[in-house]
Amino acid sequence: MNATELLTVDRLAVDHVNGDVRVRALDGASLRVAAGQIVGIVGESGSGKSTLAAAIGRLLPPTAEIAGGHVTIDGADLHRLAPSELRRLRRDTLGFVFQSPISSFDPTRRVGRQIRDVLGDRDVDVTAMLASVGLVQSQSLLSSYPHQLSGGMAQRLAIALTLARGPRLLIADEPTAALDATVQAGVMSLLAERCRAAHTALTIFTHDLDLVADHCDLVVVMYGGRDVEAGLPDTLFAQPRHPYTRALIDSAPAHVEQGARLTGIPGAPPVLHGHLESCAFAPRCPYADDTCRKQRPEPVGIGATVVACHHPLAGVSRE
Amino acid sequence: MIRRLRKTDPLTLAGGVMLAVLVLMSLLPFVLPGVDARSTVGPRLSEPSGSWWFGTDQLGRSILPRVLEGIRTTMLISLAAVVVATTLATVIAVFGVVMGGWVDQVVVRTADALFAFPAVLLAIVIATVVGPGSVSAAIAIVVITTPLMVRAIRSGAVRIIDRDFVTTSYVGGASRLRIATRHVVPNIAGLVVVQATYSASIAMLTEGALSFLGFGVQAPDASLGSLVQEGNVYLTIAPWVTLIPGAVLAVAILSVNLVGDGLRDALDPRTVRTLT
Repeated sequence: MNATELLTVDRLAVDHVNGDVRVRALDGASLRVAAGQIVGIVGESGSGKSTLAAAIGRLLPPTAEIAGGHVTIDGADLHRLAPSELRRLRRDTLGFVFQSPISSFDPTRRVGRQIRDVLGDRDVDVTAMLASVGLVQSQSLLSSYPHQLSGGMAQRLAIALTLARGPRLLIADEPTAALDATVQAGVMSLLAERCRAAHTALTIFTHDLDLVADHCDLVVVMYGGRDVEAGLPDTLFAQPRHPYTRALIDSAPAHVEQGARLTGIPGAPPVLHGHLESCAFAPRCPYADDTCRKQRPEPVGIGATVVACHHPLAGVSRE
Repeated sequence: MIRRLRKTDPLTLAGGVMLAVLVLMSLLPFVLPGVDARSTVGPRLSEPSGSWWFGTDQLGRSILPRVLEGIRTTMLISLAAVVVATTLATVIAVFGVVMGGWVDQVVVRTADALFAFPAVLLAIVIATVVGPGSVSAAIAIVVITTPLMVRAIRSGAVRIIDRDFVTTSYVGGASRLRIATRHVVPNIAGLVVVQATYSASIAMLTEGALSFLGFGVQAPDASLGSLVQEGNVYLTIAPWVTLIPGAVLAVAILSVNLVGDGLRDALDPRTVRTLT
């Protein structure tokens, strides 16, 4: 284990249980984040991103059940912590940025009061803190209610406040999905830049590969509740190994010449009800054969990329 | 001020005016000496007339001051009970929601069990144990309205506790007490106020029922319920003795409900307009 490793998610399996129905949201997902590292976790709806994000903060709803695996933060097994230790860990180590910026503020309290709530007796220069996220401290900002802020402003403020507590790991679940397309890129850059400056590790969970690629040290692609490919962003784009990654890149408008047709991925993501003894992508994969349908692919390293596929792309043979 | 009044729904306004008139009326005996609710002033069971606007009762007492005293008693008992019940219900409901798990389950099941019990029967049991009087009426009202309010307030608190700002606060290391007082209570304050007004109308109705059955306010004290009870023997020969306090009670409950509806519409987050 790496000495600077901050977060380790090891083959985590999580079920959402509702009466007799058991839906597997995570099926052996693994993730490693080193101190100060920026990791983008990309996947479509239902791939288990949000469950993974919640699991890292031990914020899973009561209906969720951990069916296997571990989450280790700073060497401590998250799900074995006593409530007081968990509270300390969350306070000192973790920070969260949520999808909807307005709802991360209490609607009944003015912005200025909420800033004071978060900062407590920390000696923080509020003007500098706001300036660092491109906001100007003014009486009108401090005396506004959260619903009077724009989405972009609120998210900038949320980022500033979360970072003001000095977390070592920031978990951002779709941090820009609720924002206008025009401010998404700006907020994403800001998030990455502030984390770099503070040497805070950042995990960004998103469905938008292009949005995170520029800022990440590592991109992890999730499918069917597990990580299917992890690699450096440039390598991943230039030479995706997993057929799903390839399909995901091809389905994004930015990678297709103007006028050309976008390639969709046939079928829909799977809804799992238990541990899968096959490749989750096999039903939608053009390269799938009997091995894929009968045997679960284990992650293998190809160069700097780790891929869980029986038939990695680009002619690289494992035989 | 006047512009705001004009914008208010006319029914709410009517309810508010009626309520204000009732409260002012109930205070009249303090500023108008000589209006005596206790002593005999004229013939028994005489019709409403210029001398006795609401007529006289079976002991020859003027009904008007007795009704005024009745309004005051009924409202004071209801107000005290609702203040206690609202505080109790808010604390219990928020405590359950913030603690979650089995604590929450105990709160919900207890409220359900109390709710399932016939209200008047429950009140009679309490009146029997404590002894009839205004205190036992108030206690009975608290026991009846608290579970109702716990259920309503809990449903509001549950919606708040899952919001991102509460999670943010938790992750920031806030204690449950801080979550409850800083975030949950302020966000359900509107709901609590509305529930309190509805409880006030239930409280007045319950007080009326209990006093009518003889478990509440005892003669010579007067509440609207006990006045209805005192007069109901003479209903066929002197209907005003019963009907007047009965009608006043109905108007009081109606006005509180109208104000409650208005508050609900004004405080409902879905109808809140963005401030500019």
